[in-house]
Amino acid sequence: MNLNSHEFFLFFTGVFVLIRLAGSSAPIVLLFSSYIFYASWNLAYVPLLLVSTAVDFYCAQQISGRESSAERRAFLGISMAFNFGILFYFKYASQLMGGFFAAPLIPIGLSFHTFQSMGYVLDVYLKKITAEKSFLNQANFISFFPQLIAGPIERASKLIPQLSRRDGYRATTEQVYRGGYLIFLGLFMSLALAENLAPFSLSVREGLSANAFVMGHQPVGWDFVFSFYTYPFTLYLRFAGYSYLAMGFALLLGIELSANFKYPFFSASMPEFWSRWHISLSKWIRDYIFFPLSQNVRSDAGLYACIFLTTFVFAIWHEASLGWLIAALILATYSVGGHIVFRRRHEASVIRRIVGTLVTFHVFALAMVFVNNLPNDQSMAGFGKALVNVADLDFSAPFERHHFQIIKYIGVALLLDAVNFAKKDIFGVLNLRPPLRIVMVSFMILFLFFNQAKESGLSMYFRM
Amino acid sequence: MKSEIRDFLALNAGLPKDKLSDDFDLFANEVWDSLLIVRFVTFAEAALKVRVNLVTLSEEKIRTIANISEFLHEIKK
Repeated sequence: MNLNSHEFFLFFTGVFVLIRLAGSSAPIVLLFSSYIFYASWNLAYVPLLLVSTAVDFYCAQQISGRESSAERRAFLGISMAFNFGILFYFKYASQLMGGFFAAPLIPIGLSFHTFQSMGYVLDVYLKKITAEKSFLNQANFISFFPQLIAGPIERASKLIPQLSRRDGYRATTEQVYRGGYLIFLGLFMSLALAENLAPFSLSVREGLSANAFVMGHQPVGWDFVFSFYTYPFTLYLRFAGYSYLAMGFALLLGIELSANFKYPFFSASMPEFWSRWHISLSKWIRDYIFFPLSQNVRSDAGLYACIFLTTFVFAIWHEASLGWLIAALILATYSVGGHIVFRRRHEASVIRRIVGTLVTFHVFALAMVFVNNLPNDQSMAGFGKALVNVADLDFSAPFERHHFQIIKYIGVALLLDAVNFAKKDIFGVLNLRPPLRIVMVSFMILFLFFNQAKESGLSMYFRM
Repeated sequence: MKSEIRDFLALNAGLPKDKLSDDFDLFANEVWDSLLIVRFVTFAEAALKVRVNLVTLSEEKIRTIANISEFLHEIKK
């Protein structure tokens, strides 16, 4: 059940009514709803989620209740070993080794709820928070259905107090207003933009091995060039759209989630990009990996080594593939370069910002070429062979109709983000002056109406 | 202590000092990035003689110059 599907809208309506009727028992209804939602993807996922929640609940209780640092460390170790064990088995051993290690299926959203749960236990260990006494509250924190399968990865200190409320999760008028807009924005980005760009985001191998690239014709040189741009945009619009939907549905229940994307393609450097792209994962890696690693590092070279290491963790979190490893190498190198030459970024001139933004986007797009073309079942040789075939494409062929369509979808995505970037807010459109706001919202409604994709594909992020 | 913090941020982030008021939100205005936070901790240890534990650091403690100053004074006590 995708968040942008008719089924989910019906499901959410039912849950919303039941939660209202349940009053102070709303958390129990919420927990059942979250498990039903998870089971709708596959019933077999449910026991793993329950066991994982129980193990971390027990370990956090034990850590919180003990003074001895050795004992606290031991229970932290149990929790980390369990969570990393699950991740390693389902995501890495199963995929890379196969055979005896092959898992029958990879639980959807595994990396999201595992990281969220690990963050909770780590925060208890670091005494940032106290262990949650109610299993119900913690189970709701791990399984809250709007963000269960694609994040954002929330912190217990932010989400548990909200989910522990006994007021039937009543939203304020202002939350309903913002939630409604975010649901619309999520639908707009995923259905009107991402899913229309997706058919043009094929990898080189897929594009060239298929007899027809799109719409039943032979691929031309421009298809290859355009796929460089469409893949990062598809990835961004799908995932950001899904994140906004999660935020929007949560707001209708009076729950505030963190923004996971803030116009990332308007970043003038890689450090800025990481503060705008998959923000909840970037912060998780910063707080639990980068900071501990760099606590005692004093040299620039040491800090840059930490950046490389954390970027590789970011890559491995996505997929243990050659494509992601090459992407990590590119992104980390550019990150370090950015820190050296673009250190005092706030005094940068407009021209330098524009150049920096173009370079940052193109470096990211280049990294994504490897992600798109080298998933874990593909070899470098296969990619190289596909690239050789690109030379046979007709690069003198003129633009075709679908090339103008690609420009249209990317142009609209850039326009939307330009407004948000100018207003420094994901609600930028709502902050425009009334005539402009009405024009922009009307345009988006009409655009969604006339360009709604019939089918929505699964983002690679749902497999995380 | 606030003026030293302000000087550090002005120098390393390239922001004019007059913009860096005590309650200027350093996260909302995208002043902090991960590396700058680590560099600030190194600076705090060397110049302000304060040992900051990065692992237990929270965003609220370094959100504004006023918060940072209060946080560092707390550690010094």
